[in-house]
Amino acid sequence: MSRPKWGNEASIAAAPAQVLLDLDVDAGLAWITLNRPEKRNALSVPMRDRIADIFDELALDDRIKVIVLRGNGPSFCSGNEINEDWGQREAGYKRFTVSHAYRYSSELTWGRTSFSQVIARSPKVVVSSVQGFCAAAAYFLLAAKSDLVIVADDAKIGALEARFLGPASSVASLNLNRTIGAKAARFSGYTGSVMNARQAFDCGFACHVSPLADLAADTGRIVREVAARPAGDLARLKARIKRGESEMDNNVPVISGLLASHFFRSHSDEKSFWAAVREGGVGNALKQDKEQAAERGGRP
Amino acid sequence: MTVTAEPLAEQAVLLRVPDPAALDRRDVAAGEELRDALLRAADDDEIKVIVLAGLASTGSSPATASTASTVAGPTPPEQADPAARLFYTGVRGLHQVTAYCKKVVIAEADGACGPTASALCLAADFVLASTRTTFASPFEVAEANYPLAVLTMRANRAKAWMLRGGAIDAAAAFEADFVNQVLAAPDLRGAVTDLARQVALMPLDGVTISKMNVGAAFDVVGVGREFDAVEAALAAGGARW
Repeated sequence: MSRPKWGNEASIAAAPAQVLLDLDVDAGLAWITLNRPEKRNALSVPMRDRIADIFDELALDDRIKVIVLRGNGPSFCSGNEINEDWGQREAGYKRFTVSHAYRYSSELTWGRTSFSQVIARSPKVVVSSVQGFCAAAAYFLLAAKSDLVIVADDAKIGALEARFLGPASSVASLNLNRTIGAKAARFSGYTGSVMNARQAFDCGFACHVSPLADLAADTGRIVREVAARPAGDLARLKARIKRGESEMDNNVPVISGLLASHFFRSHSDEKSFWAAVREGGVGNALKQDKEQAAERGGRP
Repeated sequence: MTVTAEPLAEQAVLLRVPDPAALDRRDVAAGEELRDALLRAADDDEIKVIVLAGLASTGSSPATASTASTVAGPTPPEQADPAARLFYTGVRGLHQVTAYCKKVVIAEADGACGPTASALCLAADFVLASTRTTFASPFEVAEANYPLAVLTMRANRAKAWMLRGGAIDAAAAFEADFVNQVLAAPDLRGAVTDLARQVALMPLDGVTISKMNVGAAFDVVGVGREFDAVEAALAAGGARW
């Protein structure tokens, strides 16, 4: 029995072509290519599921030492697809229950078994090769969870989702605080600003900056160097990183800003709700809530 | 090996390691001598600052930066003599005594630091290096503490150094926050002395309490747990330290 999958028929069917896997067994390399350039490689839930499944498979493949994440097109990845249906009860349903929000966010970032842990806890060395945008989830779920980040000189990296979803989880992520520094993590999360390639290198996020035209070649060179190390040494070093991060509670999942801002009621709704409470009590507020929902087509 | 203790400035002592290669050979007597000298200085109420000098070989630099090549390293910890292993990685060993030292420790690096010397630099409060200095990856030895490396140089830099291996030069070490200052070799001792004097101006109780706090903070963020985990893995006879 397989793990339950979320998404609609079309998004599930599309995922295998949107996340490509190429193995270079002789070199000990696995290349995972995000292939949805028309959406700047935005990650649907089925795409994330496929990445997680690939990581599970590769974890058991002794021939593979290094997993490389890269993106087709002008950008590495723009983050999560936020306009998708995700097992909602009806298409376009945007107001979720708390349990729905918890289910979604615990699959994404907030659970011990979530997508965010798949990369962070991989027994293989994970490398992100980044050009163009590396935004939102691509920043804190893919690149920031990788062991090495190689960036092109056109890279734009950051918690851009903060601009419309509110302060991002990256503010509180211990991993990001320890990777780019506490002040930089706060600046990134509270402003939604982007880091350019030089800034990413200077703050320790990236280990190498390449001209865009050289990114593929430089990534290939670096990952081959790493993969050339004896398998036992790499496995030991990676285990050491994982153990150290565990001791530091580095990958303790944080509540996503997406959970709070995208799924729960908006600020204006909340103000309206509490104003109605003050005017006529909770019963009045709930009645108003139902009336407003009816105006929106019956959705709560 | 005879570690010498020389007064450097008021309330600062310089411990000179005559044979840094002995540390990479996991020579118990050599490590013990340095550890004991460190403990004696740390327990001396007249001392606030301890300088570790002579950590580097002043011969030619052994490796270049950003390559996956590794310096000829020490005996792999899992193959080391149990006494040597315990001495270098154990709770009363050289490295933990340095990391949790009661006094401020300055590492002076001038030349090619082997893995053990790099690990000691990681454990020290300050590192000052000459321009000709190179640091072998400390992660070739078991006592190099990953959480401490993350605190010192941030997570991805530590991971990159660990996974890519090789030595980095003083300039790269400075950029990565592994080193506080890089100076021309003739100016190194003067800068170390100035820093020691500056720290020694602090009241002894303040220095002591701050070091107590540093130790407690290390324990909170996992430094102590990592030391224990490495020792436990090695004691169990595993190669996965």
